[in-house]
Amino acid sequence: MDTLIEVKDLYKYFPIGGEQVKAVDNVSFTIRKGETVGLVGESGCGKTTIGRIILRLIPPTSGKVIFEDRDLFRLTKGELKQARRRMGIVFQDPYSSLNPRMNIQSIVGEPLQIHTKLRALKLQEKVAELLAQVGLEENALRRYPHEFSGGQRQRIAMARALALEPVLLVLDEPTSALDVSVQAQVLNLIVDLQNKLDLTYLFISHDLILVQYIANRIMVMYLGRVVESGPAQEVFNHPRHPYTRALISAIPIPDVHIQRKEILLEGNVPSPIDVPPGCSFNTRCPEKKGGICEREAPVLTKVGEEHYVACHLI
Amino acid sequence: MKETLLEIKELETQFFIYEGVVKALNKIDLVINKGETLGIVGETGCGKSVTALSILRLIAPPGRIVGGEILLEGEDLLKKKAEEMRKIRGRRISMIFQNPTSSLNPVFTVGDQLMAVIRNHTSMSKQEAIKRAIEMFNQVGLPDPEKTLHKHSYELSGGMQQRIMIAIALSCEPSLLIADEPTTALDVTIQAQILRLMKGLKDKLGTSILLVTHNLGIVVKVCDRIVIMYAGEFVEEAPVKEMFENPRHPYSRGLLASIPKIGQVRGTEQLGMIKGAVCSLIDPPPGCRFHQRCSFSKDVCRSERPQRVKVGEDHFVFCHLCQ
Repeated sequence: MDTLIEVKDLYKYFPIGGEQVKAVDNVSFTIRKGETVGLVGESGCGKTTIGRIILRLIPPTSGKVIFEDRDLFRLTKGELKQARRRMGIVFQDPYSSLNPRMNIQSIVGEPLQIHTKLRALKLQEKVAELLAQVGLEENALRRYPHEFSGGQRQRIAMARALALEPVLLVLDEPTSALDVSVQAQVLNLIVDLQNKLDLTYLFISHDLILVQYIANRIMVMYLGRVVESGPAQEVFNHPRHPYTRALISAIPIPDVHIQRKEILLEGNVPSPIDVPPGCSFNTRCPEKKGGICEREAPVLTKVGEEHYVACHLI
Repeated sequence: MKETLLEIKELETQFFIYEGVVKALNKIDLVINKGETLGIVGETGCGKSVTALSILRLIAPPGRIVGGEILLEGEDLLKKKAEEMRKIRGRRISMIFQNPTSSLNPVFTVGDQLMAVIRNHTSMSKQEAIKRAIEMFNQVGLPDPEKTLHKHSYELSGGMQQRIMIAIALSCEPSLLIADEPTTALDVTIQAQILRLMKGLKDKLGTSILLVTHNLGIVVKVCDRIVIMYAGEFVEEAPVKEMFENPRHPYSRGLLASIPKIGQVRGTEQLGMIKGAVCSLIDPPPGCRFHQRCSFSKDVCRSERPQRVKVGEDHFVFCHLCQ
């Protein structure tokens, strides 16, 4: 499989009152064509920031993003416009991601208006087609976002994201704001569309169970760094990093038969302004080895087929 | 031996808005026993929060409780005067909410807020109240209780704020704690800490807990019994294990089937879905409120509201199919 996107040595620091929020702190990874990569972590770990950077919605502090063999941040205006057709994003909040003053025809048609010469009837037909693809009827065209439920709005957001037939879709917590039964509908749609349209997904979520369901590969993040990555089932069933283990153990599982050992993390997540030296997880790690964990930041080391962990205990 | 703490009979709560009357709670019945943790589960708009707020008579206009009884150890709360209800809230029944940041007043210290509750309900002196406050902070696992008393909510993390809410709620040793989505706003690892805290305190103090949530995983972790709610009505109630192993109502089954399980990966089989969307609460359909989305509905479902039927040990369903 060829590489669709390659992220190299990515840093993103946000300056705030003289200090730095280390949102992304040395992250590198690749996404191959056709894959679904799950990016997992709790709030403040940097996953949303990464999603925005790889679409060039915000600039990195340093590092490279190579999209389809080209350096995304060195493209000219014209080249960037072309590249933007190949990528799309669906946001978490279905209530703030659709302009309430535009009807569905305008919202889903906007990318087509900007990038193609389709107008009037032909444009309307294309939009109707896109809506049908996500399971919405043509009568939605003249209606406004507030007339639709959360699940329907996410479908509209998907139709918009797919308007230009992108190869890469970033899905940033696409179902977190939805009820459980609606989530299932939207997830099924997401899977269907990937199969039909040969899409590549970066699926960002804090919900590990969802991610192990939908992703081929998982990356677990903590305070701006990747602590573990590998095939989804492998990471989920054989987690090697203490944080991954604690995260999995903390998920409330809707199953009465599974007995699990509970790993409770003490204390709060440190602020990304004040990242602990050495391994950023050392202040809460139940398996901390001692000195080295407080002094040296561990690097990602191979522990299995495609399975990497950043931990001194390995 | 189960002893009834709270009994709700035919509770009807409605909201009178421009578009019409929202029949949020449609004559519901519920029993909470002493020492048990009961989970009310349902999706957005099903009425679970309204149920919790109705118990404490915290329904504000345009909402109103229009009928029914809420019996706390035999006394009907709906017949109490405002003064009497104030003595009950925080003392016999306490509540914690989803967003601790908006539940705590940022202008006062957290210590002041905790002590206000203690001094309101007991005759403790200021010194005694401070001692009790520190004791409570210790009980909920807050580091440095003496120092934390003087902090303001915005100086503390979400997890710490929720611990303070729990401290406030349990400070006067209520018989019932109502927790409305207490961990939804918290990260997974912090959520685990809070749930473990709640479970530990419940065991220690013998408090009954009414946990309102949409997260079935939390129910498994913390609850003894679960009742599933849909469009203002209860559809099924059972002990937790029984509900997960043997759900009888089509909605309960649909709900359980729609959650990805561990080890379940995308593939040839889709996640279970419930077709359609929730009915209007202003203009609900006659008969069973779920019938339009139900693959098994019969004629009687479209005309008559289902009665409560026993289908197992402590297991009840509201469904014509189970008669």
